[in-house]
Amino acid sequence: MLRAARPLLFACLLTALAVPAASGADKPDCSRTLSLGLHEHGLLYSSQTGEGIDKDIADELVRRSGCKFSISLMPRARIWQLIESGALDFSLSGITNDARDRFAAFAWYFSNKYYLLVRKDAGVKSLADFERNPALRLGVIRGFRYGASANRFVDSLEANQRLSNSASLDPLYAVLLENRVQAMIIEPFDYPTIEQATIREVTQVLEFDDPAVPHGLIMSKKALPPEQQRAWRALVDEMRADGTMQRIFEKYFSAEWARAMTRF
Amino acid sequence: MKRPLSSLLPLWVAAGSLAITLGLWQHERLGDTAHLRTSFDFAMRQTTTSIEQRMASYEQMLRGVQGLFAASHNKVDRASFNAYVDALLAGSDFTGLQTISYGPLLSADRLDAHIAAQRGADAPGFAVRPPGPREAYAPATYIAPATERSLAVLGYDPFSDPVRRAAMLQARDSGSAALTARTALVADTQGGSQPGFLMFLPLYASGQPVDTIAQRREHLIGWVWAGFRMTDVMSSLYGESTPGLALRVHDGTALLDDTLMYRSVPDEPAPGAGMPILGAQEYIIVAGHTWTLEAHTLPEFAKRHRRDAATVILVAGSGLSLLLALLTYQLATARSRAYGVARTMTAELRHSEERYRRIVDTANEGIWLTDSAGAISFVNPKLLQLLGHTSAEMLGKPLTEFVAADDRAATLADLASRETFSRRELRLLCKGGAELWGSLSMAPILDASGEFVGGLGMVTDITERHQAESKRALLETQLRESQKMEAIGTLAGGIAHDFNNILAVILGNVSLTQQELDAAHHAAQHLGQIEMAGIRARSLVQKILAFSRMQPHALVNQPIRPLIEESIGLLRSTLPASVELDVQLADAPLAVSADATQVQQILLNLCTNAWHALHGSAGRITIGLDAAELDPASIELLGVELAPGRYAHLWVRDTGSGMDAATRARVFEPFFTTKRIGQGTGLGLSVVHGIVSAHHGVITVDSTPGHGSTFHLYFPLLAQPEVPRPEPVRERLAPPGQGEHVLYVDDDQPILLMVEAMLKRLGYRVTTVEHPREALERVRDDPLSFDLVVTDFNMPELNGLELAIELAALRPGLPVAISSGFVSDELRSAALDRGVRALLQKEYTLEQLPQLVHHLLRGAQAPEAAVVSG
Repeated sequence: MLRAARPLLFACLLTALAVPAASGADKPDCSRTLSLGLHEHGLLYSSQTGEGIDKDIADELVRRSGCKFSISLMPRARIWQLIESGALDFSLSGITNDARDRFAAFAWYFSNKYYLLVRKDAGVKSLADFERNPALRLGVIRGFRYGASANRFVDSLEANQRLSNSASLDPLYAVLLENRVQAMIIEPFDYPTIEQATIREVTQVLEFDDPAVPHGLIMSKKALPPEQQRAWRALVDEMRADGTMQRIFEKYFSAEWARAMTRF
Repeated sequence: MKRPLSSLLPLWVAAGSLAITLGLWQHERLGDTAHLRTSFDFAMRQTTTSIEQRMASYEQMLRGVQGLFAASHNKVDRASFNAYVDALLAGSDFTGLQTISYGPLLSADRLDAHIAAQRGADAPGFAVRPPGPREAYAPATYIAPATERSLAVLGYDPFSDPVRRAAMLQARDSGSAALTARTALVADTQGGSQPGFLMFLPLYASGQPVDTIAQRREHLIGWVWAGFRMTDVMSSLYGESTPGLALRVHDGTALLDDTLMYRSVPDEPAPGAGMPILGAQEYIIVAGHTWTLEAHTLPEFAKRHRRDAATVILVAGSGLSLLLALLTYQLATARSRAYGVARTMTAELRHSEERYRRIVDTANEGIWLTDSAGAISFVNPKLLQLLGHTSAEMLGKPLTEFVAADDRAATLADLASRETFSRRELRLLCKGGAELWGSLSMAPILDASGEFVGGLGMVTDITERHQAESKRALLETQLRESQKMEAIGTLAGGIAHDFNNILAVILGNVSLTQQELDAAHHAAQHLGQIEMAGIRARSLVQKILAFSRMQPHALVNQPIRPLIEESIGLLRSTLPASVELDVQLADAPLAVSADATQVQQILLNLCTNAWHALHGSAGRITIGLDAAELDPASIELLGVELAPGRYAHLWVRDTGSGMDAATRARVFEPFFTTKRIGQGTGLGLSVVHGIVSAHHGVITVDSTPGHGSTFHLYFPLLAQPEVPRPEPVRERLAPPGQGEHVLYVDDDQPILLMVEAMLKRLGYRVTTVEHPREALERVRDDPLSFDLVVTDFNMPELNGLELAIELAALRPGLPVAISSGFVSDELRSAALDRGVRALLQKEYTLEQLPQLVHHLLRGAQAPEAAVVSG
């Protein structure tokens, strides 16, 4: 009798052990108001409409965790500064690098490649062409990083003072049309803006030589202890697992795109 | 091939180090530029961040106001509003913010009620501006802080202004703050205009959902807004200007004057040459509104931030590169330059060496070098020639090996002193043993530290000079000898003269006495002795005069052999039997210019001497005669002064005791004798010497003690003998006088007495006078009184010749004869010149005076005034 009960006993034991681990440490701590910074970036968030992917994910996180959030809009560069200092707990749709890894933890929920949106009249067929022509300027969002070769491309142009920084993409589109910059780096969620006739007419898209880069929930290591990070990561993973993430993306992208971005 | 290294290497080094310098300079410049850019970028970020922060805080503040309304369920009265804003603004730095306003959204139909309500409250003058019908209104109902200026804006409807309206609508739809484009604040339009903007925040009905745009539009009830002056906002951030940065803020992305909201530097100075200008444009989002920040560096930015290391590196690097290249050049060419210098020096040295070698090789002096040990290290060709050695025979040998033994010690001492000495005379040994007289000068050679390393010697061949000196010494000796002899001769002559006078008296008186007495008288024998002695004495005086060469002689060219044979005959009878006389006469007729009597005298004296050398023992005397050919070498060997040529060689050899060198040297000295006193006068050989000299010949002697002596006589040979002249016949007996008056002048009283007696006996009248002056008086007094004057030559006051001259003046034609102890050639010729009739040899006064007087009185010229002795 005991022999038959052994597997069952074993399973119960495991469950008993697992549950505390799952319940105790993995629960987001809502004892205080958590701060989350949104930045204006195409479909991710628009202050004009007050809507975007990031907004939806933030709302979902609020809902799922039950914590009180203070959500504010701020420039991306400031977001990274505050995440590093611990003044900001969360942000969304961030990518990592060695520097950021030191102060930020991430919970990935989508990935995409980066592209160079370049004016057709710049006479550029490749990234190297753009680099070679000193008259060509690149517009970037201050504080943004990309994949490895894109980073190298941006750094090289910065060294030659060929970058124009902006707090968000909208001014960059304007100056791109004005030919004050000849290119900008875009991601798929920038496409709706690009698809506008005027921009699409005068530009072409070049692909960077990098694989797709994961984007995710940014958690300040200073503000959130590792167990909290795990808790929130679990939350995000849940959202991915149960298709919530995809659904959110589908609001803004085609199903195909949404799937491609969220499944990685 | 050699060129490349020394000339290219420095170039390579220069190029390399300049390249490095340029590289470092470039690197530094790039670093400098990067640093500048980094600084600039940082400044930009600072600027944008501070603007964003400030605007965010403004927004936050406005949200506070929004919150006031939300908390009050949108029921906020003016007083509460003012109080809130005052509290909000108190203690905070919101420079730039002019006013905070509240304006409800009013449809046209609610406007009037709103105006009335405001007028009824605490704003009696409330009116909506601009007037006119519109779809909706949002007049500024509350304005705080309530200043005169701000209250003047009360009632202004921002919704009427398109710029403001756009922002208001954006705020409504987004639910968050919205910024207007650049505009002028209403408050400002009334006085002084600055670019400004307004920030609007929507107010929604409380409790209503505002999640979507539609909901927000539906539930909008109004706005709160704040007005800002841009310059004041920016000033409050930075002060009047950012150091080194010229900042411009444009509304939107267009960089136009219309959009310029702020300019930090009103008048920008022209950029300095070479100063990098960094510029950037950054686009910031403020409450959903884009502002373009345009910044570029002013010269002072570069000055402030740049490091000047690049220039220093360039200058220092270039300098060091050149230095390095120069150093490399020096090192690379050191060798070739050293070679060059060495070559030049070597050439100069070689040239100098050749010059000196030429001097040394062609010098007429022998030159040698000795090393520190005194061994010969170098000899020049002249020295080898002088000594006859080869250089191999001389090199390495001590110098003294070539110095004659006698001089070696002195030379060694001189060399050891290591001092300079010059003209040390010494004999050097030639090859084969011959000696060479040399004058040696030596100087020590010292090296740079003063150490003795050897000597330099110069040898001058002084053999000739030495020989000349020897010859001169010999000649001097001979001269001294002859001078001595001459002195003695003069002395002897003087003595002889007196002697002759005395003898003349003695012999004269003896003769007179003999004439007075019978031959049988017992005194005659004594007189005879006296006569013999006197004659011997006279002979002796003659010898003396002969040796002093004052005796007149007659050189006749004749064969010499008969003269010798005559003498030999005489000698055989004279020499004792123990002495063997050997004769070796050549057959050839050898003619010489000789005086027969004197030749005989020579032989006589020589053989007498030879005989005396035998010291009474038996021995042999050899007399030889042959012809001799004398060349300069043989003459030199003889050590005499003679012209080379043919000579009659007469020699006399004895087997006697011989003479040592000292004796040999003095053998011809007058009065020098090795015989005991009384055994010889020491005049014999002197006389011989004098005679030979008078014959223009020479006499030498070879002698070895114990082996006898040989006297060699050389007479110049003549070609042909002359026929000898017959000898003049001497007249012995003089005829008597006829009473002629003879004046005899002589300072010697005995002579006067003798002559007076002699002439008186002969029949003449005689007047004797002692003093010549008296004789002159006598003649002057009575010139014709005298027929003949005979005067002595040697007299005080006036000699015989002078007297003759005076007498000739007094009475020309008066015959005068002079009598003298020695009749010299000068006297003879002078007498002839003055007309003196005859000269008489004083010692033959007795024999010859009577005949002479006779001849002179008879008017006949006396035979040969030179009255030769018998």
